[in-house]
Amino acid sequence: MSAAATDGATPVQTTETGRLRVRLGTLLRRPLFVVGLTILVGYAVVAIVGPWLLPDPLATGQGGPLQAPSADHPFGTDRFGRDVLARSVAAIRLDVVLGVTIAALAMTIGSAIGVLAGYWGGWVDEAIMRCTDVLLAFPGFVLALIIAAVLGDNVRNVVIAVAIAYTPHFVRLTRAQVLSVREMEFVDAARIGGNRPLRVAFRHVLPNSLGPSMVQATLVTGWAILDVAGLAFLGVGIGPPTAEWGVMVAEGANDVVSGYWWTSLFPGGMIVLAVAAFHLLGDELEGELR
Amino acid sequence: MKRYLVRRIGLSLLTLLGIVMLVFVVSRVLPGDAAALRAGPYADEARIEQVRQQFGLDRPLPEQFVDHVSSVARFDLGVSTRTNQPVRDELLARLPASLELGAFAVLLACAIGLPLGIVAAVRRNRPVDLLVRGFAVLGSSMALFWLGLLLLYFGFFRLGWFPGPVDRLPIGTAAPPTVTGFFTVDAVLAGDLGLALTALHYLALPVLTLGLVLAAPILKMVRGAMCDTLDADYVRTARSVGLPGRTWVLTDGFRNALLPVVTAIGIVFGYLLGGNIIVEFIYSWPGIGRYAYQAIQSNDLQALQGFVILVGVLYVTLNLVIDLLYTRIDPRVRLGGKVGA
Amino acid sequence: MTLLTVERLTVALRDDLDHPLVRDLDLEVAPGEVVGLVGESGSGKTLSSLAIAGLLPPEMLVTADRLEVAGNPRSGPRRPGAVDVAMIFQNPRAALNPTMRVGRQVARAVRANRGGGRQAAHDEAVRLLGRVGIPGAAKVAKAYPHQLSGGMCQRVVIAMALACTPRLLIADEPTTGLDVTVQAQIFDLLQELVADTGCGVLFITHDLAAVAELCDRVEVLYGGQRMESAPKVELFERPRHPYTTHLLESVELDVDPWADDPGVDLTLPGCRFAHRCPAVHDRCTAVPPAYPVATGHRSACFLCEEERVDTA
Repeated sequence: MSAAATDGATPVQTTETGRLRVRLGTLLRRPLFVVGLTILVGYAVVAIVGPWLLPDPLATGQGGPLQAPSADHPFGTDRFGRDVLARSVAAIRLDVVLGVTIAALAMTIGSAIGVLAGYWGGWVDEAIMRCTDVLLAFPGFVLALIIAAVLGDNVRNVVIAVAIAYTPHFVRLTRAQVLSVREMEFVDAARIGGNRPLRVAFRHVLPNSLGPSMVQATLVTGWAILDVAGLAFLGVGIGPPTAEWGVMVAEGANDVVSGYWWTSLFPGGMIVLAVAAFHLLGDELEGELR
Repeated sequence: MKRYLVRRIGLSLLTLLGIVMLVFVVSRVLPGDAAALRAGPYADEARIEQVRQQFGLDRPLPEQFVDHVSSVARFDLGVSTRTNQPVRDELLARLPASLELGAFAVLLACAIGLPLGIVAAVRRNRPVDLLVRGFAVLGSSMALFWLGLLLLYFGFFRLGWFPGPVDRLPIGTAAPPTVTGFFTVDAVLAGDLGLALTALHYLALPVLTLGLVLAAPILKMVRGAMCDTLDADYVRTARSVGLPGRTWVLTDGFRNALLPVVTAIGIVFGYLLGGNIIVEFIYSWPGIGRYAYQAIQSNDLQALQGFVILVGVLYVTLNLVIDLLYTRIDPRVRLGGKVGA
Repeated sequence: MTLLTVERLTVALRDDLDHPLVRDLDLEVAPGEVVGLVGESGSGKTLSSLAIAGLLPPEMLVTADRLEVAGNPRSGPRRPGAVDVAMIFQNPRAALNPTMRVGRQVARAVRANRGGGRQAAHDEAVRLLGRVGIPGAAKVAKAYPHQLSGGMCQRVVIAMALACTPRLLIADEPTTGLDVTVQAQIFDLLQELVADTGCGVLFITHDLAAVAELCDRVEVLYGGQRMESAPKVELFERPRHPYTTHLLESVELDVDPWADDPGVDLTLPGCRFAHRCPAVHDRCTAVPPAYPVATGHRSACFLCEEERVDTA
């Protein structure tokens, strides 16, 4: 129980129901969670330390194009003679950060809208629900694709486009939680205590409705990375010569058929590993919350 | 029941309208200068102005909107700036290729996902279950473009078992007479089994790419739903009256898990419609996905718009079919009312 | 010959064998007898009955000195198709497959136990539905569970149990949540079936009034141990165990007998009622044997040692 003082109105007790009462300690006892966490920590370490040890990801002519993996170039070189390992590592920072950003954005905006819809009800709720229905009537990737294509090819637009595709999920999720939370006693207490409706909604109802959203956020991070890379692969959003996993796979795609597998398959593999790590985190988090 | 149908179809039509509106907003309102976008990055002022007039982008928005909706209602999706052909015709010509690929992919995904999901649920928390769940995590994390290239590398370059990314049939081979547009089906209908097998051969890698990835969500859903139903009271009753394991797993467990499973298949179609683009690009498959890719590359907004509308229509129709399937699957939805005392 | 003989039944989780959920339980059911198994939730009544029926999951270990139905020892989980112990449960609508017509569900049970063709099984199913008192059985057979009332659903479940021609019928709180009039009808049906087929019924409940109405004998359970066992009238008029006395008093005062129960500590040796017993003393740290105190009347309490009689 924590007491939350409100300005000018009576202090209100909030309960911890729905708030994340998961301690890191219990999570760490789940082996799959540890695996996922280790992978991500590994990525973080490599991303930070890598640039010191590795050649410039944009520098061409590093000992000849399309060199197979060797001691000098563990991941080989691509058709422009760039070191594939250096580029893959540089891409970690870009892709993972983008994934997290998109998930955070979608969750923040989606939850806020979801609280509004669930708490107010009435025509506000109806209107918001119809909008999410339409947005969800599209496969997310296609929606992100056309938005990104229309807005123009840069990082900012990709983030916006993919975030828009995932926001409706959070709206629905939060709204469902809010519908049950708002009937709880502590909300009535907050209302009676004289708090303005907006404050009740955001200060008391929202934090207790976020449980399932947190799980979804980890999963969405993984999917967002896939989407950003997928869009880049198709030439939308991020493009060459930026070191981004999807871009790298696209650049190497033509060469794979001729047998030069390392230019595409290494960066692609890193995507799968990163996304799998987020997946494991999300699955274990969900198992813990259940 | 009739009322439910009518309501459901009405809702679908409304959603379709919403989609058309959304596409309008995205393609006309969102970009800074819609004309400049269509004219492309190399156009000068004069060209942009020309494009603006050509597409009626200088008219007031409400007028544009009415125009847009009425065109779509008439199935007029405009003309591609890349090929100068009507977008609708081009999409329709390529649709069967994508449908054939998609249908086989979903079949494969179900063939993998359904049995594995059932086994994982029946042998919960045993080694088989963990293996299966591992596969599910891998599948959900799989980048389609990576898997496609991986399979190409091993299946085509290394092992030579499968054809390269060329087309649906070897160059120079004539397609079977068109009945459904599915080369496999049409070849069989024409009595040419050899051709059908060749078509399958060329379908193999792209179908495998999509199918393996799509199997993961199906598997997860089936396992989850089965775990729920296997814990249900009615399964306990079935066991207590002496029904053999296979019966109560399938007839009581799986049959009652169908609802969420069908939902999962619906979601999977969503991934399919998106992942289509990537797979068709990698394998040079002449479907609507590849058409979309070409539209992106050449800044052909009209074609891309048409593609998006088509995808929206397909998705809404699909969800409608699934909702109608629900009524067949769950008698509680179909029939109300009490019988007897 | 008894229908059901259970001696020293113990049920525990394989991971936690030191804390058995049911410990050294003894039970007997004679042909044509309705035995009430009384206890609160957690007393082990459902677990023991599932163990007898062979329906427990493999995570549970079941051991007993004797576990025989109609003279046949039971070993391991039940084999499908040869069911001699049928069970019916609480919440009848949930016990029926919601996507299958009830007639077919009964017919399935018939075919699994007696074999035969589809048509014959269907005819038998309709006959059984009529036997359990469902009017218009042929029409009802085509219905789905959600279209039937709770009482009707329970009758269908009983019909499915009958399809197994069971020697013993275990009914686990079959009427909880049903209307009082429906309850009376189900009781009448059960008594009819006992009289007709000579099967035995193990009737599990926490409702003493139901016991008074339906049962011939009563077994009182607490914490997975049998506290007292007696013919019905004998139990109500001359209870010989502190727990039984507590139960009967609570019914008289119309209070919930288990309201302040902190729960059984499975780690403690000895009598599991000791922690709440008003007559607890030093000897209670050992498990009391079931002293016979009258004909067919046993009490597992050291206080009864003096009065024990030599006739069982």
